[in-house]
Amino acid sequence: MSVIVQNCRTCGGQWFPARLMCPRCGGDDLAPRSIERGVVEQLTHLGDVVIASVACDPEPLLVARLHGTVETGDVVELTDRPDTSGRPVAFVPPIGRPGEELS
Amino acid sequence: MRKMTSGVSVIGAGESPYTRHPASGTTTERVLADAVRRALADANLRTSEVDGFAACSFTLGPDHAIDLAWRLGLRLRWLMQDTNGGASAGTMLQHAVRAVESGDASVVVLVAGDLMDQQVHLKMVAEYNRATAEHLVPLDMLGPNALFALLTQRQMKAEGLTREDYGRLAVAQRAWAALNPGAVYREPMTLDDYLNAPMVAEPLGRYDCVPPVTGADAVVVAADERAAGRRRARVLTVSARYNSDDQTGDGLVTGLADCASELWDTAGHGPADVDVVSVYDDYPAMALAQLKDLGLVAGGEMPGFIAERLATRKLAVNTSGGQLSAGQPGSAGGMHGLVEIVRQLRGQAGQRQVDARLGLFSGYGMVLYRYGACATAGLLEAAE
Repeated sequence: MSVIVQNCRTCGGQWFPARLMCPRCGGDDLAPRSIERGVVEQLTHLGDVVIASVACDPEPLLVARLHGTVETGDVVELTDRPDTSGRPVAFVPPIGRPGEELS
Repeated sequence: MRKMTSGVSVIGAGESPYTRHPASGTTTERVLADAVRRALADANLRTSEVDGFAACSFTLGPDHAIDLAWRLGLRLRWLMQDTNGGASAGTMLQHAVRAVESGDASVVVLVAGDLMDQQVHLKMVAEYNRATAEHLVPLDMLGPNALFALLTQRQMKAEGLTREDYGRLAVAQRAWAALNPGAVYREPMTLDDYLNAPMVAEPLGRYDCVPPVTGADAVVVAADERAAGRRRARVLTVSARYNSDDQTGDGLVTGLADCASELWDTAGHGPADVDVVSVYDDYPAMALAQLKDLGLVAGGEMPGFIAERLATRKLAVNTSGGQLSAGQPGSAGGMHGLVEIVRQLRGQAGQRQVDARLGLFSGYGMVLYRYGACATAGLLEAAE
């Protein structure tokens, strides 16, 4: 389980959602990189839906939907597929269609 | 070196009455036209005297600014369409004052507004931009309330704010709204009303979230000589920042933090000189963030500032009631604050009139992914 973000091969910056050029160095060599987990910074409830800010190390910051029992400060596994198994995960919808944009 | 604006004023303002439930047959273009007509009447000008026009609307499509100008009967030599929502007033005004200064136009009308019933609002928030459609809507998150709930939590921690503090701001604005016949929510609100309202996304309750309304706002910008002998709101300076941090921050600092020093330096004034302020209040946290960025409150001093300056009206902020009580007319949210500043500086604010020579307005908006990315602000002064 993971989420694909952009990794700038020139400066190492990590970005989500997809950029067209690296905001830090201006490079356009942006490759996909899997990130497996992040830290829940804040969370809030929209009815039954739990929305959170999740920080990856060292970046980016993601907006995610939490499933399972997760609290602020927890390290949580990231997934780009809706997960209803009940285990604690943070769902982040993927960039584009598979193979597109990041190829 | 930035040049101070010279000899350009806002000489008229108009607002198409805000409504939560537009009558059947209401259209975006008719609401925009109503605001234009009112602003021109306020400026005592005819459409034939207008040669510059700018419009911002989320719901005008498939039409564009030129279609609207045509249907209004405007023959123009300067035309602009803006898409910056809550920051559009500053964006359009920044361009318009330079157009008038340079002689590209002599009388410019700026208008923003939307038809915003529930169905239109849901469609707008679902299709706001690609990041929203691809990465936020699939979370079962419709609209920005949850994003600003997370941001408000960060601000509470950073600034030592409580729900009571935000409530005092909302209550203060509601008290102003009671003096504004154009506000959709005018009945008195207590701190208990605020605290006991249904939770939307903690810590945000119902009264932290703007009520969408149908409405439009317009202003008339012209060279000072067009306003001979009449009260006008002279534009001293307008400043803007777009995408100031690539969405990599906590959202507690807006682009206005970078505008502030050039704004004050160019105008030759400081925050202590301001008599009346309109900050963009899509949420109380953002109103406070803008007041801090513009230098009106220091970091760590927000709770005391709210209780001792805002609630007491020692500093007149969002005297129309703001969008929180007057309503958020789609993309006219930013123009709402400018119209109120113009009214205050021209002595047209009725029961809520304050003694105002120098007015400040700010706009904020266009959530890209985590928070807004557009920020604009301007200083205007009363002149004869």
